[in-house]
Amino acid sequence: MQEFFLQPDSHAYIPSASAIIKPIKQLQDLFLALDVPVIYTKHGSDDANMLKWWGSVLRDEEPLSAINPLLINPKILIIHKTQYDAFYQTDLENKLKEKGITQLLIAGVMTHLCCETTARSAFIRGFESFLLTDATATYNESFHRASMLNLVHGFALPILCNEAVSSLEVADA
Amino acid sequence: MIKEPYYTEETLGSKAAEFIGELQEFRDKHSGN
Repeated sequence: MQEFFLQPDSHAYIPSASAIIKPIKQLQDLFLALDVPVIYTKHGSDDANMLKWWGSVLRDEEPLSAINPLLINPKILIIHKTQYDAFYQTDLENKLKEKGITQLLIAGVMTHLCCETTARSAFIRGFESFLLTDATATYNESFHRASMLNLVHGFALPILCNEAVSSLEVADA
Repeated sequence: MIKEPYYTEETLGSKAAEFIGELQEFRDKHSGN
């Protein structure tokens, strides 16, 4: 998760985002301990449509582009993206297929923009996606709820972090 | 833009658990065509 969404003076500040840092960290630590790949996306773009829509864009060289230091780990692969969709003009799909990955757990922000678009894109590429209900967040509950309701109908399954941990531990046993 | 801290470290567990129950119920009700 980038500082862009965590710093109160950022226009993209998400008041609920800091609450999901701890569960994301716990989950990623377990994943990494079990050698399960963890991939972060880092958004940065001069995209004209993004600029037109939002009035400003986040560029890679800006300090707010940095990933939160609590979450940084050298074992994590970072994919640079320019759109909501983490698959769009990135090598994410190839990386996943190279590793034989068929299932994705999606965490982070924002539920109704990048997480949702990526979950939809993952579906049409043949991946099975799970949305971590307690490790995703967005600007307000209405957006979060609306996004989740749409996704669970046609694209992804909802899951809690502790359920994901149980599944991993069973698979690893 | 309305921004609200609907999740805090204190409420995250209970709210997410309540919400996932609602999502599963919704999915059961609306699964299929």
